[in-house]
Amino acid sequence: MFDNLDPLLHSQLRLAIMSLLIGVEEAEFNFLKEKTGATAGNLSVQLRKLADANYLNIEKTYRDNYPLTLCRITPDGVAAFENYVETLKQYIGKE
Amino acid sequence: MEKEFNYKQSLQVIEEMITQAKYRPGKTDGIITLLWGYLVMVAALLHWFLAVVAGVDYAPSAWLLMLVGAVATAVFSRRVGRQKRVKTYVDNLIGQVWLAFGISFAVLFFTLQPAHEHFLPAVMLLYGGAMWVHGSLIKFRPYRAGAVACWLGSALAFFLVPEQQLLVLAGTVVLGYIVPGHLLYAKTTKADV
Repeated sequence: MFDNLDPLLHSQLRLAIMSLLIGVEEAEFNFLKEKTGATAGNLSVQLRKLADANYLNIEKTYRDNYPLTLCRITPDGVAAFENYVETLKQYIGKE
Repeated sequence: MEKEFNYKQSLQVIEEMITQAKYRPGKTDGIITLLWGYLVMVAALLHWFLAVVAGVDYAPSAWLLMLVGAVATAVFSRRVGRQKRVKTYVDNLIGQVWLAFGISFAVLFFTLQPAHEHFLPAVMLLYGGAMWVHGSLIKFRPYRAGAVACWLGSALAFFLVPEQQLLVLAGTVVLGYIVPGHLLYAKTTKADV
């Protein structure tokens, strides 16, 4: 039924991550963790999948000597998200 | 999290997450407006008092208070920036608006110069412009009303002598900065409870 939907985005957690990042410049790992309610391990795995597809960019840095992970959506990620939403609209139109 | 979900749930996730990441002004946004509002008001009134009542030559030194504002803003913004776990486009744009204000102010300061009779009205015009865009970005009407107060104050000040302009400036920052700053602070404090 949802063959045309990007399988990478058609996952609750990955879609939630992309939806959070689509409207912001950058977000910290802990912000994504809090908003999605995911565990740190699961979130890391899904972020890595999205980064491997070049949908987002992960920057590992330090703040006050503590590790800090910043995530930003890439132009490819924006295009993929927009395609996903367009496909969803078609499904709604068919209903 | 990897379970199948339908398009209605997809839409729900998108909507919920976009709402979660939407920019919301925090307590700190109102504090910086209040800080500058009170500092400019005190400096303008002090300048007027020293120039008109005390009649001293060093009256313009009242504006050294602005250095306090600059240092406090830098320290405060740095601290707030470190606490923010997400950076929105609105955050960035607000910073750009005030940077543009700062640069425009510096150009006026070094070209027209503060002693010029049109310096204060021109600064009030800039205040109004920055407040209008800031208010539009955060969708907070009192900031835009404050901008209108700055523009009206500017228009009035163009017809006055510098000593009178100082009083207009003090009144303008009350309406243009202090009142909107308190309203934003009250709104965000209430929202945080």
